[in-house]
Amino acid sequence: MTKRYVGLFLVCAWGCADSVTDIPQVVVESPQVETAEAINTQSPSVEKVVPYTATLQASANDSEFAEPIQGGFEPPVSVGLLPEVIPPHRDRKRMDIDQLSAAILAATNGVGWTVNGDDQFEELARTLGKPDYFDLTSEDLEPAALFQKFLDDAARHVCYELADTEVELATEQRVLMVHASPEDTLASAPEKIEQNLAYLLKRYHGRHVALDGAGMQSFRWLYESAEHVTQDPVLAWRTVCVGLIVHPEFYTY
Amino acid sequence: MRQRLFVIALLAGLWPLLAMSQLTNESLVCSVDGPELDKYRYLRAMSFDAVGLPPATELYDALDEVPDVPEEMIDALLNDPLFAQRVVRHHRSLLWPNIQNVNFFVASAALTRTNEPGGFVYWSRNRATAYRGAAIGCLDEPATYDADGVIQTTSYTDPQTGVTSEREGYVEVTPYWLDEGETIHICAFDGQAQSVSPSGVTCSTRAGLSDVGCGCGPELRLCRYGGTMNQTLADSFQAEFEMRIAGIIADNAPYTEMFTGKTAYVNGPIVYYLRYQVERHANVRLSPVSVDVDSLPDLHYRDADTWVKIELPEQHSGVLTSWLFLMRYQTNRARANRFYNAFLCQPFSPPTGGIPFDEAAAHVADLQQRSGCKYCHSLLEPSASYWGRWAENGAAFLDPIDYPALREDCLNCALYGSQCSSECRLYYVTNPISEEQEEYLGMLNAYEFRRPEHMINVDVGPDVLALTAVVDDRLPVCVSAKTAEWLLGRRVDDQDKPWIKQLANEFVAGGYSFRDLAKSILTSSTYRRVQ
Repeated sequence: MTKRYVGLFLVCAWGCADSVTDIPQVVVESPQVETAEAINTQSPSVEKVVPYTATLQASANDSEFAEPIQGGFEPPVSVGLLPEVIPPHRDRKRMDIDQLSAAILAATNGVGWTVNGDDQFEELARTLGKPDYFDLTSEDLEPAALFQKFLDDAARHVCYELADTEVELATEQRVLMVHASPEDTLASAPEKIEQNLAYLLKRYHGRHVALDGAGMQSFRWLYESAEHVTQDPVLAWRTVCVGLIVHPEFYTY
Repeated sequence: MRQRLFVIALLAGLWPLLAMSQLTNESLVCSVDGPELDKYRYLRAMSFDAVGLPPATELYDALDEVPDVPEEMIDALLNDPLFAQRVVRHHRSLLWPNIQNVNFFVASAALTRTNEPGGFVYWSRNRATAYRGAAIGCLDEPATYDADGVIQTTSYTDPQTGVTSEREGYVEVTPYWLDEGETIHICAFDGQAQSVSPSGVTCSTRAGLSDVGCGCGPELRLCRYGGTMNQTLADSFQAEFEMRIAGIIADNAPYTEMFTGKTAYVNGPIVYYLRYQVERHANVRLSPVSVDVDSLPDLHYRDADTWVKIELPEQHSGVLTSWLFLMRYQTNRARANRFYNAFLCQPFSPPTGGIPFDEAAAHVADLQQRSGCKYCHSLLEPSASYWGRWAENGAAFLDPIDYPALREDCLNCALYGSQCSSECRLYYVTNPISEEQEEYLGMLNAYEFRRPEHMINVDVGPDVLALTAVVDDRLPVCVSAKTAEWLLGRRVDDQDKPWIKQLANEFVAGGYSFRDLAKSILTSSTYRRVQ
C-alpha cells in the first residue's frame, strides 16, 4: 500500500510537468492587497489582482473613514507577456459548387445528381450561390442551411443510385462495396467491413485510418446501426455513403 | 496528460482514475486535425485547389510509400490543363466576365415568323411598312418576278383596318443559323440577297436598314431570328476571353502577357459577326473592328466549336482590350476602375470620415478638380485615358489615322452648328456644356481635360499603364496577394505582408510565372496549416 502511494506521488509530480510551457515567462512581483478575491485565491491569476494604486484611490474615495490599507507583496507570479500568436494559416474552405459536383462524381465513379437528365448543380446554381458575375460577383461559400439541405438531397440521390447499381456489378467495377460484397455482414465478415470502411474514408475524405483505429469509429457505428436496423448490408452501405457525403470532411478541405 | 493518468491508474491500482481518463461519448467527437495537414489531406486540398477534383485513390495509395507529398505530384497538378481552368475561374471573380446584357443586333435586323398553312414564313416586322405599306407579312406562296427581276406584289386590303398593302410571295433560303440543306420560307423583300441596292446603298451598312432595295443578304446574314444568335455571341466572346487566360497559364507564359499579349481566339460566330454583321449592332459598337477582318480564318457561323488562334495588331493590350473586357466595362473609367481593383488592389473609395468639400470648386467641369470628385478622379481620369482609343459603348478601335486627336470636320460642326457626323458625335468633343470644355472642341473625347503630361496616355494604350505598375511592384504584389487569398480562402492581413512581398519578389525573379507563384503558396507552411 505504501509503495502504491509513493508511486502515485511520483507520477503526480511527473504529470505536473505539463504546466510548463514554452511561452516566454517573466516574473512579476504583484502587490499584495487585502481584498476578498486576493485572500480567497490560493493561486492568484494576474486578472484577479486589483492594481495597487487603483485600489488605494478607490478606498480613499469610498469613505474618509475607510480602514487603512495594509500594503504588501505576494509571492511572484509568472505571466506571459507575449500575446497568443496565431501562426499564418489557411482557412478551411467549403468546396464551391463545381468542386462539389466533381467530388461527388469522382467518389461515385460518375453517378451525378441528375434529375430527368438535368444536372441539379447547374439547375440550382444560382440558388446555391454560384455567381453569374453580373448580379452576383462572389460565391458564398458558407455551409449554410440551404447548402446542407441540397447537399443532403444530392447525397441521397447519388447514394441510392450507386448502391442499387453496384448490386448488379462485378467486384472490380464497384466503388462503394469494394472490399465487402453486398452479402457480407458485420457478423460474417467483420474484417471486410473494416477494410471497406477504411477504403471509403480514404476515397471520400482523404483520411488514412488504421483498421480497427479510432478514426473509423463513427462510421463503423453508422454501418453497424444501419445494418442492425435494416438487416441489409446494401442499405447499410448506402447509409454510409450518404453519411460520408454530408460529413464536413467531404465538402471542406 | 490523459495517457499519464491511465498509466498512474494502472500502476497504482486506482481503477476509478480510468473513468477520469475517458470523456463521455468521446468516440462521437470529430477528430481534430493537427497543426498541419497530414500528407493525404494535404494532397486532397492541393488537388481541389489546383484542378478542382479530389485525387485518384491510386495517388493516395502512392503516398503510403513516401514520407510526404512528392514535388512531382504537385507539379503534375499544376501542369494539368484543369489548373488553367481553375485559374480562369479565379479570374472570373476578378474581372466578372458576363456580357449577357449586351445586344449585338439592332431591332430592325430581327425576324419574326407567321405560321401559315404552307409552314412558317419569316419576315421583319420593323421593316414591313417600308416594304409593303403595312405591318404585315407576305403571301403564303412562292414569289414571282418580272422580266427585270423585280419582285411582283399583289394589293391587299385588310378587312378590319382598311389599310391597303402590297404583298409579295416568299423565297426559300438556307439561313446561316441552320444546318446546310435546311431551308425556310422568308418574304421575298426580306430575303433579298444583293449586297448593293438599286439606289446604290451598301446593304451591310446602317443605311441599308432603311433601304427597301436591301434585304437580309445572302443566307440572311444581315438578320437574326430569336435570341440564340445574341446568346451564342455573348458566350463566344466570354469563351474567347477565358481562352486567352487559360492559354497564358497552360503555356506558363509570363503573367504580364495578360496585359501585353497579342493573341486572340476566334470561332465561327465571332468571325461571322465581325465579317458580316458588325454594322447591325444595337447598343454596342465593334466597328471599326480592331482586327484585320480580311485576314480572319474562313469560318462559318456554324463552326461554333472551331477555335482558331489569331495574332492581333500592335494596339492590343491583352485581356484589357479584349472584346469581352471592353463590352463588360463600357466606359473608360469603368475599365480603369476594374483594372485598379483586380490587379493593383487599389479600389477607388473615399477616406474614412468622408471627402473634404470646397463649395468654390463644386461646379468645375473637370472632375480632376471638382470638389468631392477629385479625390478619386484626379487619378481615375488620366488612367482611363489609356483606353482613349477604344470606343466606349463597344469595343471598336479608333486608329490615329482615321481618328486623329483633332478632326477638322468635328471642330467645324461644333463651332458653326452644321450637322455633325455620327463619328464626331460619338468620339469627339462637339457639344460642350461648359466654357471650360471649349478649348477641347473637335478633339477626341479622351483628350478632354487631359493635362499635357497625360496626353500621351491616349496613344500608348493600357498595356503601358499595366507595365508601369509592374515596374513599380504594385502589380506583382497585388497579384501575389490576390492569388494567396484565393488559395488560402481568406483575406491577407498585416501579418502576411512580409510573406506576400517575398512571393512578389519570387514572382518577378521567376519571370512572372503564375504556376510558380501558385506552387510557392501551395507548398508554404501557411497553406498547409489549416484552421
